[in-house]
Amino acid sequence: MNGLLRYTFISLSISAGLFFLIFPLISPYKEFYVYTVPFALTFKIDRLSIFFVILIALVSIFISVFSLKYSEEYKEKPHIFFLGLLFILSMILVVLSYDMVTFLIFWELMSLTSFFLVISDGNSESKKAGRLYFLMTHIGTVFITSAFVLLYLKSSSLSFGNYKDIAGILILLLAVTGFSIKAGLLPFHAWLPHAHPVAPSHISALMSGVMVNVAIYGILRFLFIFGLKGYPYLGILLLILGALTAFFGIMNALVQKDIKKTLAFSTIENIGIIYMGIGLSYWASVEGYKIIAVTALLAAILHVLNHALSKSALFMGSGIILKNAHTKNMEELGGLSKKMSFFSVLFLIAAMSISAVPPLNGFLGEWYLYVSLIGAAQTHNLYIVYFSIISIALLSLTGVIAGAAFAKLYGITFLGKHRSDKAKNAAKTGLIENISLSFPVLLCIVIGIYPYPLISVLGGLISYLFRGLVSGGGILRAFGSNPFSALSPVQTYKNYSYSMYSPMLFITGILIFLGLAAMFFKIASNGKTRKYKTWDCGLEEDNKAAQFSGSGFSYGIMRVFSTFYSTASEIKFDTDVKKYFRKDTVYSEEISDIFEMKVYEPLKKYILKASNYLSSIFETENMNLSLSYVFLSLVLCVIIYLFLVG
Amino acid sequence: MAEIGLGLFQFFLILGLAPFFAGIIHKLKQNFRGQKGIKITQFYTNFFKLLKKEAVISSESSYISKIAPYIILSVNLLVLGILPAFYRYPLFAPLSDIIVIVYALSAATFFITLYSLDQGSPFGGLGGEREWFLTMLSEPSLIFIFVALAIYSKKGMITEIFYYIQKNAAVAVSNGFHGHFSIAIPFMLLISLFILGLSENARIPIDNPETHLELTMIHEANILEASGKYLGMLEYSAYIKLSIFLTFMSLILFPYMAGNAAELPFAVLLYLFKMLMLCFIIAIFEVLNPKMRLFRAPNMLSVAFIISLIAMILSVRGV
Repeated sequence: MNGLLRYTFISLSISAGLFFLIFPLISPYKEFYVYTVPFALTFKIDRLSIFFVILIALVSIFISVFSLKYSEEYKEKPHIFFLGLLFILSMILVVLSYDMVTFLIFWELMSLTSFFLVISDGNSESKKAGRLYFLMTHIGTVFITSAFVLLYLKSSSLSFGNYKDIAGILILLLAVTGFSIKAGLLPFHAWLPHAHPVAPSHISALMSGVMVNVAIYGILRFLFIFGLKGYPYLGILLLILGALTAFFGIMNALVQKDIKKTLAFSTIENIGIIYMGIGLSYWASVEGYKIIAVTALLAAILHVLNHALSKSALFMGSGIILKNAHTKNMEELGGLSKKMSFFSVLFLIAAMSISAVPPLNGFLGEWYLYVSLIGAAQTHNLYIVYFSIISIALLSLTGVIAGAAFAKLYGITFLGKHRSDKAKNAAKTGLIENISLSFPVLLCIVIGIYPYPLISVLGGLISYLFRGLVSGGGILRAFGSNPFSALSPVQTYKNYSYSMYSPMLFITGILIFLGLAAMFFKIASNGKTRKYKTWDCGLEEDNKAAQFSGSGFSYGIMRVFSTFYSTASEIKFDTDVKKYFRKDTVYSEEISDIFEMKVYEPLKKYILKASNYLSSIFETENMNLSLSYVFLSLVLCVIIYLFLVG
Repeated sequence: MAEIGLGLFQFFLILGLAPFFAGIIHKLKQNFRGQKGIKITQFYTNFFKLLKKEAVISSESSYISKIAPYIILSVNLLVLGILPAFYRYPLFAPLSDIIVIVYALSAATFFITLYSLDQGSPFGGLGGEREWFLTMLSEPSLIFIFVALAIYSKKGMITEIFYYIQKNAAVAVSNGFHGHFSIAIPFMLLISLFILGLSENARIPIDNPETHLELTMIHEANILEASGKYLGMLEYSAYIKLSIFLTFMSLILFPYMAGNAAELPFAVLLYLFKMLMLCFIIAIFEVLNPKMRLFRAPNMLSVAFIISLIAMILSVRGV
């Protein structure tokens, strides 16, 4: 019975994904209504939502196919898959919504279903994460709702069609804050690394790969469609917050031992990179630097796509590891590539893509971002010159630490000897899992080496966001039409030469050299190979713990950048030393998020104190007094309303 | 067609000379120390000897051990094909975007650290960790250097950047008037690039590839398990990387790139002269300095970081 329910829900998710993948393509740019009892729900497919709908539907299909097999882990809990279905539907419908009530209904549905999915494991860790998530996401909803209420007061309409170019700085700030909480921007990120990893892995993939994109969708809609163009400082604020978020996220991702936690922190990093693109593009469109605006926005949108693909693949991969080896702690894994060779190749490509190794797709987005930042550094606007140079510095640090973090993640998990029996007895991967994982990975490769059609499609979206002020398609054309042509040669600033990058040429060059090297070494070398054990200094002891550990791998960087970490470590060992290795050595290390320690904890204390104080004042058993409080608060609400309508 | 021919000539000349440059540094160092020293061609001998040897693969290793050396070698070859060392139109000129070069080099780092972790050897991980530890400080500086040059010359491709410097330097020398062109930024970048060249290529104050002491080794620890042709590939990649960094230095120091076949002989001679001079400087630097404690390396690298950051800020100019 449970199995039947499970498969029904999963196949419903797949068909919902397929429907919303095909439906926008056959009837694009249409408005449609669903009449429900109190009011009609309005939906519209415009160029912005079509991109996000297709992205969400596509990734949801991969993840749902993956969960066909993965669902065996949750045999007793078919409701997870029902909630998953609702979650996917609500995300798609948020993006399609064309009036504020519809938007908020589905936004809330999305938050609630994801909350229930976060706590579905039922242990204390997931409950704690769920509480934090519930609180944060509702603070976010408050901000978004107030932004919408202010929009309603300004335009006296619920429909998005009437909100064009009316949002002032207050509305934009409220909306951006609200959506940033969902996306996990720097001061609001604390919930994300707790909530994303504790959910079932396919849900983590949905949350990390897809749900954050819904927040990005909201920001794009507010900034570029609802927003008045006239606040360059908002763009700079987003740029620098994004850069700091990216740096902070990847610094924390590097030191985690939990695979899923690493991936969650890497989500924060990628959100930061997306914000950098959006911020720079908003700034440039306000100040009239059209080409920088186009390239920066292209960078952001490409990164949304790339992150969705590679992060969902990685989270699915972590699910497979968790299911087959029953642990997500890297220090207990190792040597998995021998058990699951095909899967490990897929995981490696996804990890390379997210750490921006050329010519995969992750590099493409970062390249556009670098190009637009270098362009911005040459505009004679002092603020952006200053901040873009800082952003280049932070982005380059982020890029290299991302490489380190994913080399560690892959190297410690998949390579070397098995670190524990769990890794040794890990089961093999199934066919469905491999197939569902290979779709996003294949897309990563294809987008990476042949992005030309995609970029001309995205050019249309960018022109739509700038509403004709800038024609994205015109600027993003390629030189010539041969497949090796350089990608969108863009002249980001007058006098500055064209920046070019030809991914096809890159991959061809690599393949030519690989072929030549293979040929040369085949002919010139002695072809004999022999297998022998790894050199262990002549010791007879076979100690698996003698290989390098994950925390050792990030130790050097952690020590240099110790300011960014709050760590507590302890070593316990017996003094009786036998041979080279101590019998029992326990090294424990706890790394916590400095923001959580230094900002959230004190803030929690103050809020509790303040609420205690207030309750001690207002708490009363006198009925009349209570009623007068109610009356006074009503009066206060009316005053606020009058002030806002003002 | 002539362009491709000359590009191929440039590529294969540097490819062929790469072990020679490494050898000459080694030889000079040994002479300064008063040792008799190796032959200058010793590294060629080593390479061909390694090809003849049987490759021993660790029984713990996976497919990474078999493909990583090839990938590292081809990435380094690709970057070599991008370099306009003495001829303006290298083989892969459309790829000479500054960011592409740096990220391609970092892809090689990615694979060498995976290789180091693959055999489950304690030394390998040690090397991998230290490799990233140094790369994370040196790669951003490398990006700054290129971005500073890009902003300074308003060109995004290194072929054009160095041609710009060459042209303006020639104008400045012949007219005695330099306009916007100033030597300060290339000079700062040269210092920074020199430090990076030492750290990225396992040279002395940071790393010493001549020893096999686990306290100090970085590059050697990464490739400790490699043998036979795989070791040959990795060693040759290291020579190529050294030549790439030396070539960058020579280009910033005094760029002269031939535009056609007639200018080529002089350009080649000048290039070789510059390279030998740089080898000489590096050899002296290595002899005069002791190997640094690992956790002091960040101090030196942050000097490079700050210098290139300052150069990047200074390169933002009017007009």
